[in-house]
Amino acid sequence: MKVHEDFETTADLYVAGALGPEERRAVEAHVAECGPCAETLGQARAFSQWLLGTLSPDGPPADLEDRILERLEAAQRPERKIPIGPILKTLGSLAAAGVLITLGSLFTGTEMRTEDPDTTVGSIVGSIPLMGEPLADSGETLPPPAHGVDKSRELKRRGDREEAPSELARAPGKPEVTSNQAAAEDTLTRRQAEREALFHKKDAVGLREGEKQRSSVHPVEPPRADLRKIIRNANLHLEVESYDAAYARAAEIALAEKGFVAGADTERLPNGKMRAKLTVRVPPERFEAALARLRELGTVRRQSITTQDVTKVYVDLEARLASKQALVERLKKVLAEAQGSVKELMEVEVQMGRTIEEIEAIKGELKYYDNLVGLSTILLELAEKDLGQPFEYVQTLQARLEMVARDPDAAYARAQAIVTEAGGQVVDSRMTRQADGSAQGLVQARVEAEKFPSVRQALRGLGHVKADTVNHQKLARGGREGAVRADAPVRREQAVVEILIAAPPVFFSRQAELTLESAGVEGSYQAVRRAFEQAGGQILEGSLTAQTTRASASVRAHVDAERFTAVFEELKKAGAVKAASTRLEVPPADPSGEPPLVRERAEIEVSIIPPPEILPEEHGLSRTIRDTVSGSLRGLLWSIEKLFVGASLAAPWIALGLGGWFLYRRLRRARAAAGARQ
Amino acid sequence: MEPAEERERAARARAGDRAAFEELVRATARLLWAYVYGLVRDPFRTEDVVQETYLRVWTSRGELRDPGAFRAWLFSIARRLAWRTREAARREAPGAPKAPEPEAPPLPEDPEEDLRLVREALGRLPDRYRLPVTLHFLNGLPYERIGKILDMPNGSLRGLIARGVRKLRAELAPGWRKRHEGA
Repeated sequence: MKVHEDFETTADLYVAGALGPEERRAVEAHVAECGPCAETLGQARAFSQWLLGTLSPDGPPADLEDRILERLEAAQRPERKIPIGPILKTLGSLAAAGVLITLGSLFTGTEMRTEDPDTTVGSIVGSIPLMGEPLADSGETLPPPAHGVDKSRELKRRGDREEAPSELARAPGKPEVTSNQAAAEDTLTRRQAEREALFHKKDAVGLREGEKQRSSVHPVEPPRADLRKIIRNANLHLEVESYDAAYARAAEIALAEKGFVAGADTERLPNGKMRAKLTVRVPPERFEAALARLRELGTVRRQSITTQDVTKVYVDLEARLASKQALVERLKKVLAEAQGSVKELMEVEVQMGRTIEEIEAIKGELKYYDNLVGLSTILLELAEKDLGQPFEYVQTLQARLEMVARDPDAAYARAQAIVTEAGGQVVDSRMTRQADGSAQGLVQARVEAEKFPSVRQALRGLGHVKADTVNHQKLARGGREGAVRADAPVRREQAVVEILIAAPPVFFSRQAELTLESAGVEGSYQAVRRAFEQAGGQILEGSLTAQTTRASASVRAHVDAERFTAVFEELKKAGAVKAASTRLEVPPADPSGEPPLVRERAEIEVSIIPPPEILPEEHGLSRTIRDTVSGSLRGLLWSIEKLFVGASLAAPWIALGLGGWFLYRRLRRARAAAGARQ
Repeated sequence: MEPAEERERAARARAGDRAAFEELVRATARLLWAYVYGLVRDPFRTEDVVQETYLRVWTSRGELRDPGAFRAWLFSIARRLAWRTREAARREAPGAPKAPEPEAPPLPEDPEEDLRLVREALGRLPDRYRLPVTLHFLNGLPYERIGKILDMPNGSLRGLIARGVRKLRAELAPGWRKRHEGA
């Protein structure tokens, strides 16, 4: 036994089943004594189980090989069409053989079977879709059903590959005649049967008249000409006079053609017309006749016929079904024999459950196709004449009134009152004000259309009308096509009125500037502000700068034009008037000749300055001395400044020169030292 | 199947013997499946490729010059198809993990994630380890059958399995440990 460090490898091999019996026993014995190694083995086992569990959905299907072979067979079929020569040759002999065998079977009542792997009669016959008509079973008997197939596959599943050569060795290529029971016993026969079953399956599917389990004793009747699975659908769009009559007639036709009306979906439009969708199902052979008769119900607006060939899908489904069923049988057998470990059996169980589910799904799909193929569908769309005629007219009215009122608040309130008095509703109302005292009101309202003219008149009296638009519209509803219906009612909708009321615009008719001189600047400033506030003015700017030596102040304000004169006089009292100017402007006249609707305002700007300071002039000796000293000091400072400028200009050059000299000296010394060393 | 037997079956299949070909299919399908799975890492694509491979092999059986080289020929066809499938899959889903694989795989959250991790880890294993390991864990084949399929003496197969499992464990250590301890 290996040491602990290497035990990991041993454990992996043990778990993988790679160890021989003695080695296994040795491992088991060692693990019983050695804790760490038992741990390692447990880990190895857990890892292996985890991998197995994780990967299980990825594992190959149990019937991998069968599926490959099936695919090969499926792909093989078209290829066999090509060598017609040999087939024709075979056919001749076949016909003869077929007659003989059939006769024989009739007489003996036993199943006859040719077992010649070289000619593989069954395979060839079963797979020639010659002239589009399979010659299935012309005298050849079908293999025994599922039973025999199961057995042989089951044997193969167990991996008895060694058996294959022996089987082949026993294949002597001579015909055999066996009974049904005997066939189940002979492996070779079963193998052959399976191969034939694969070839026959699809033709058997094609025939599919509920005779998949047909007894192999009787010769099979010739196949029907039409083996294809075709879904036929039609879409018919008709314009009819009356829906009820058309529906009754359609139902009649469907019955007469051995079909039925599977569904109806009707809708009555607001203009009283009907629209409907009928689903009519008829047998495929009656499809054309039914369609032709349904067309006569009215004017054909649109028609389309679709044909879908689902033969391939269908046959594939059948093939899959057969193989799944065979698989289930095999799995059942395995379970019955109960050979193999519990794990294997459980896997088989799981696989079987999955396969049965798949079988159910396939069966469902087949049923679905059977239904579609068995009955053609005609989707009948019926529309009554003049479906698109308008059923009413709608009159709408929208108005917008813009006006200017001297008192917008009052006008705003009044407008709402007018609407309510007329029985209308105020939908929305808003008043917005700006800092300069201007305001704008908005009223949205709905009133009855008849009341609209009087309301409009009343509203116009609220102020100066700037804009007035009224928009009438008449719309047809439900109208797409067809003539206008004479008696279509007219519906008048409520008028939507929007009223905009604005205060008159501001016009500055007076502008004044006033300069006051006052020894007490601050006092005057306060007096000016007070004057404005008392007059209901609006101070826009006010500033007071008070320095020790000199103070000044200014104020800019707006006042109403009527109060301008009074305010201006009041302002003049705040100090000595140094300068005053006023400018008068007249507002532009309204084009209608009415007095202009504006709010006149005045703008006044007041500046307050202190009286000028007066200093006496100086004469005499002291002034001369002061002038001289200051002059010489100025000269001294000027020369120092120049000195610094000169120095800063020269300094970099001096530094550069010194550096260069220093470097030169170093170099020379180094060279001298080098010379000395040599 | 012994190499001599295989050569004999291949020769007969080349001549058009379906029974011989069927035997070859039964002898090699699982191995081929495991091989393709390592390249494609998706069970459904793998089956497609395997089926397609045998179909090609059968239809172009005349091209097999040396019946002794049947296996090599089979695998080369499968490899080509697998690559093509992989390219197609990548083109189909360009956003899919073309995988600059992270150094340490993230801890798995669910079985799907586990499966993805294991698939990737299997994909990273060198071919000679991957085949026996895949045959063991995915096909669930017993040890002796793996030996027969791979036609390999006991000693070398042991080495491959041991090293393959060890490599796999090293790759998957974080994910597995979490699973294991969480369980």
